[in-house]
Amino acid sequence: MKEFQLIDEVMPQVPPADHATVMAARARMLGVDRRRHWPVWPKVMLAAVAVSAVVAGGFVAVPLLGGADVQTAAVPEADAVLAAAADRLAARPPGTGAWWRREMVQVARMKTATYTVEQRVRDVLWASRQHGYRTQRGPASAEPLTPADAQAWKDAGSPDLCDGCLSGTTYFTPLKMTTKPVTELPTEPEALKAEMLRANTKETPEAWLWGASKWLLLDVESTPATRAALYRVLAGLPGVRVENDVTDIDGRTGVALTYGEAPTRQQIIIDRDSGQLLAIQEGDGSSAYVIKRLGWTDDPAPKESTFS
Amino acid sequence: MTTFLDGAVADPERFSAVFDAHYEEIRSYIGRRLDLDVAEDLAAETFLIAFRRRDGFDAAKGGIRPWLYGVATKLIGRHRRAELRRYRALARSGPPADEDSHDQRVVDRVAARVTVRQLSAALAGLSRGERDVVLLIAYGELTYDEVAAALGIAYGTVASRLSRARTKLRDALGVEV
Repeated sequence: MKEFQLIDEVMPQVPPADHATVMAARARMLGVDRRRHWPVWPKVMLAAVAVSAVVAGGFVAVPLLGGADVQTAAVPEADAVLAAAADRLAARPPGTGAWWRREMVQVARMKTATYTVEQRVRDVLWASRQHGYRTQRGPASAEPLTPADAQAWKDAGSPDLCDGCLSGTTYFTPLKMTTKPVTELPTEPEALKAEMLRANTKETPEAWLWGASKWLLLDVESTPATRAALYRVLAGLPGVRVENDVTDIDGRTGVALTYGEAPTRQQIIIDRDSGQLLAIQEGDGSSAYVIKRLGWTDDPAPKESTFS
Repeated sequence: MTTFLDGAVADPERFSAVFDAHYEEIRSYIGRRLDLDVAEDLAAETFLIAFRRRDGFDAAKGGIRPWLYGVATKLIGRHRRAELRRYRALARSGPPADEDSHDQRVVDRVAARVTVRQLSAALAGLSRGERDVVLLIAYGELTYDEVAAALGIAYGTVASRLSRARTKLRDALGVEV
């Protein structure tokens, strides 16, 4: 019996929040920040990061700009496209190597009255097969989005593009989701969903599943089969739509899982050929995580985490 | 390794993971101490404050949950009178008839011979500091260390408040709590 269980049991419970209330609270939290506090991103251009291929653990690189033929053929059902991509992903071996590496670029676009600034920061996560992780955050850049934005920015007196920015220090805390190694998470959708919901008595499971799934895709070394199962779990949730021919912030096209309505619409964009994650982004194009590489590697991890 | 999710606290976009993971429990914690309309507002306020102060979050001083519970508890503190009014109302009339699926709960309460009325009266009899400690443990399932971190008080203070609270609750309810 836990401490003060009597109080917990006897005192009235709180009815569940409705989805609109949760989303409004979430938007209120994130919205307050749009204007001012942006990460301190030193003005180092990230030109070197071109659109590259996702490489899973030493396996063959799959071109990300695939699916050109899809546009000429009769457009297949989005659900079928996703299912086929998930099948191909699930068939991939988990990969070898001591470290799992996820390299991405975080993109944020901030609108002022007359111009839009695009900020980018490189974010690499290394997770050890044994224990522990490292992060490398930076370098970063902030530039006017288009030549017209650059002109408007100059006209405005070229103000600091990172005014009011914050540092990008990273902390991780457990989501209490599982005590198993993530590589042992179920590969069957229903079992995976049950495992994800096991430790959570959430009243709005789809919102929680969506939120947790983003981090399962971005931040943990889940196996290709688990990731494929996750796509299927999400595709089956109320409020989640599958849409084909969705373009990420860097212009890569794939099939998308879309959740929510504007202004809180989010998209998980998946490469149609490989099933690999391309990007997770806000539907309004205001921000995105653009995946560059993801998978196990024999490359050595850095000795310690770095932030620049 | 086990799952570590949630993401960067200082990173505005990823802070949304903290919201997704903890909003419901924070809302529930506040909602069990204050009326729901106030609670929903304070739950949103809790995350707004946490979000604004995310740069000051220090993982070395405790986890995110105690930090959020601490912010929420401070906000509840501004509504101390409303909380007491609520307990007194519950002590008079018990829970609203339409509140959740209470049939089984009523049975449980009777079995324990402790009713919402008695317990509400007993909670109203605690000092604010005692109530914070007791309810962070009862509703938030925080450890003593986490309670200390959440409230910014010493471990010894947590222990002494608990000790006093137990005595008061036992005297009021006639059972060990």
